[in-house]
Amino acid sequence: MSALECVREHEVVALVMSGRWPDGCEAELREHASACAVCRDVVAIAPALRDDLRRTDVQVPAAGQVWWRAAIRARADAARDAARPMVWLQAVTGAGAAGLALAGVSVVWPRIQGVWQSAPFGRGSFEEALPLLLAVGIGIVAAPIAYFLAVPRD
Amino acid sequence: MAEWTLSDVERLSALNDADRTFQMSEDAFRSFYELTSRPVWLYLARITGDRRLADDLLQEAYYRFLRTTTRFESDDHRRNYLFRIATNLAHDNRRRSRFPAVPVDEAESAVVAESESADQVARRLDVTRAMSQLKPRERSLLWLAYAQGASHEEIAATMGLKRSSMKTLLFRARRHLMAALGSTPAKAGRS
Repeated sequence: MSALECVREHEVVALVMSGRWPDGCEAELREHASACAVCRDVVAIAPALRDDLRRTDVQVPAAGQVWWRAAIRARADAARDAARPMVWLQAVTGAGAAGLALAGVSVVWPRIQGVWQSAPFGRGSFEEALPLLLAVGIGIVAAPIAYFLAVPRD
Repeated sequence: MAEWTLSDVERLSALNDADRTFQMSEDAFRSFYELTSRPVWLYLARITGDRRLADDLLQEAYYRFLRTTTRFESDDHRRNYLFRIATNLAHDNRRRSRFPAVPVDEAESAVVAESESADQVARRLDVTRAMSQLKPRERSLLWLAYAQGASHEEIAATMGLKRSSMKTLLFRARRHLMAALGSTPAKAGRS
């Protein structure tokens, strides 16, 4: 036996749990408990904790209420799980559309430059007007996406 | 008029059947809850020191328990698993919020049963107060061992600790509680 444990600790705990400590046990065990450091600590702590568990006034929700809340939450989780593939599909579609738009712009880019230079309002250099053109282009692409994200979907 | 596809119907059906994925029927749950809710709530309240948090964690613990796919070999296994969920929830919450040790609500603990002597009540309050000064893990260990009467194997399984370290951990926790008991104001005032 080490100072950390006593072979009779479980015996003492079992008696406390069953409410038979100290009156319902043998005198020999009570003597042991008063002499053993481990069991002395146990009999100082365990009856009070056991009483705390048995006598403290506890108000828990009704079983039906806990079940009902769990069922509601399970449905919400199932709905979220069901919607998850749709969100992924939307993201992939959006990325594909953006890629196609960029590819399209790069294909027609030389024509845009040519049209700009031949247009009557194209007095300034194309490079000077480039930021404005880019802003308009980004606005055209981003506006529907922003609208899609901002408007709640049921 | 909205058109319904087969996948929509399947999805709605899955939502309505969500609670059928629970690992026990409602009747079985009611019986299990009646047996376990009070000790689990008190365990949560004692290791967190917060009644409201204990209410929230109790609901969460039963939800996770109902959603588990674990197969239980016995009622004890089922009960220990619930305590393990409760332990993990309390410790996760502590890591996130770093809640301080809140003094135990003595009015709640001071309900006196007719068969309880004044000394028993005083001792119970002293121990409750001293427990609130310990680390949460020590509170868990002592509560499981000496309020629930759990074996070392059960405590190790509940807390995710090694069985071989139980003796040392319990010994330290007992010593810390005894030291805290020696310094509780109520006890000092009485003596």
